[in-house]
Amino acid sequence: MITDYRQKILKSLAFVFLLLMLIAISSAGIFGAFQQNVPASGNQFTTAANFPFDPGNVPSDPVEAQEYYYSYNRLGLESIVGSQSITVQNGATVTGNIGTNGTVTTTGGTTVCGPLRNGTGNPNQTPNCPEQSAAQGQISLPDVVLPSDIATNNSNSRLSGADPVPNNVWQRGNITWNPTTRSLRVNYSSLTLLGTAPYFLCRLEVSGVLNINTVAPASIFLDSPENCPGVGTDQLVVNQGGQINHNDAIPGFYLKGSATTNTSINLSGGIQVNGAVIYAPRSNATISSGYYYNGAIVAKSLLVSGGGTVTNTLNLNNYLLPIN
Amino acid sequence: MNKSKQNLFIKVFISLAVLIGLGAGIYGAFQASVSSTGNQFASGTLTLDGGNGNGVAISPVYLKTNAVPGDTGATATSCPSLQNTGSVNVANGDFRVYAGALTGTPDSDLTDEITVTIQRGTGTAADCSDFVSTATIYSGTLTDFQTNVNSWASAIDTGIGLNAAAAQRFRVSTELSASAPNTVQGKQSGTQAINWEVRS
Repeated sequence: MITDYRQKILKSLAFVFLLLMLIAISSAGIFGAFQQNVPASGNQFTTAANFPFDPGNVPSDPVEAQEYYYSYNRLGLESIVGSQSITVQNGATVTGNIGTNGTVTTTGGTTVCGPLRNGTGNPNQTPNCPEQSAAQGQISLPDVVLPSDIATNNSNSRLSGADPVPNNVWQRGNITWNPTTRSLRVNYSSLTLLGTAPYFLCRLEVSGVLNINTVAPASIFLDSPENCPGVGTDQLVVNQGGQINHNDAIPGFYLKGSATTNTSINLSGGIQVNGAVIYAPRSNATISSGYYYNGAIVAKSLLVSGGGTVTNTLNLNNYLLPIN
Repeated sequence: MNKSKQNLFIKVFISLAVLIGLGAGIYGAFQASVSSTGNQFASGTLTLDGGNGNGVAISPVYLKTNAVPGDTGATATSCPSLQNTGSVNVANGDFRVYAGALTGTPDSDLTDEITVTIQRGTGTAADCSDFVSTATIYSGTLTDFQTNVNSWASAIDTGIGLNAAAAQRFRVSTELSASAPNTVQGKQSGTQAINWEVRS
């Protein structure tokens, strides 16, 4: 009996002890450790909308490199481009950095030299010069962007009265400028373009000699066909021994083109283009029948046919284009 | 009264008797005592000061807007000094740094291109002009820092303890890769807090 009570007393003491421990623990809060932190707040990084062009940052992959140049409105590596197709035929020689999203078709004893990009999944046409590289890939050509004020801020007024031949001379018509249709024809004689503002035309035909003498690259914009009724879609024509020369900066010819109407470039018949950049992503270009073209030509399709040479001996990688 | 009720009554009675006994000291009739005096328990303090007061946020250690490839996020306060202003020594392993609160939506393409380096070192200038590194405790992308180093449990161990009154300077370096692609133009990393924390 006494033992029984002792056990009960011990159990009761244990109960009280636990009770006191719980009270002590809950009042002291020893479940937590001491701690403190100091935040450095407001740290952030935002990038510029446009990184500056960095030659050291040009990707090594040729497709990525070209896209990098275009993203900085520069002509880049590829200077002979037919985005849909390139056809070289009948003794033509094409040397330069060549690019297409389609195929390069060659027939009739042609020479194609230079790094060559075929469209992804297309037959891998290789240059027929030794030790030239070929790659595959797709590159979208950026559209031409007209300067926002070009309708009013241009050099077209310089063309009025440009014909040096008096009215009473039968050769009248050497240089024809129609300010209404914005059509300029240089026929037989020569015309020197000056001025810092761009020219804003619908059609340019050069059968004589077009000299371009500006320190900064002259810009000749050819408006979309929708804005050029009555002048046809052959917007840039050099024919009948016509020449385009420059004295200082290399001129640029930019065809706005159209999403619905085909526009074209025709360079044919013993012509010479001695330094130019033609950028026409919505136009079809034909160079044929005796020609020497030195510079860049970028078009939707490119046909080079007959004896002659299309080449690029100029350093045009960083040539600035009016593109987006 | 059955037996269980009897037991409960006895337990309650004895418990009350003990509690009363503790307060009143009724056990002894004759007594003698020797006192141990001066017994007490006082808690220490554990506080950390980055220069603005205990636990108060400090200025950004990286901040860069309109960044282009190769830019750093260096600020005039990229090298904070953290001081133990409490009375308790912090043991090695209990002084850590990690990504804290994040606001905004980081662009992972951008944060993949930003490297974060945290170094422990010496120096007196918050702008790091005289900072000399003694150890690199973290180096990785901002993406990794934000996603994998964002709690005390996953924090970076500074590799040192911090005794009371001691201070330690750090440098936080950030850089947008020089080869960052155009796809990260016009992006943002989110606004990220970086916490230095001590525990006992």
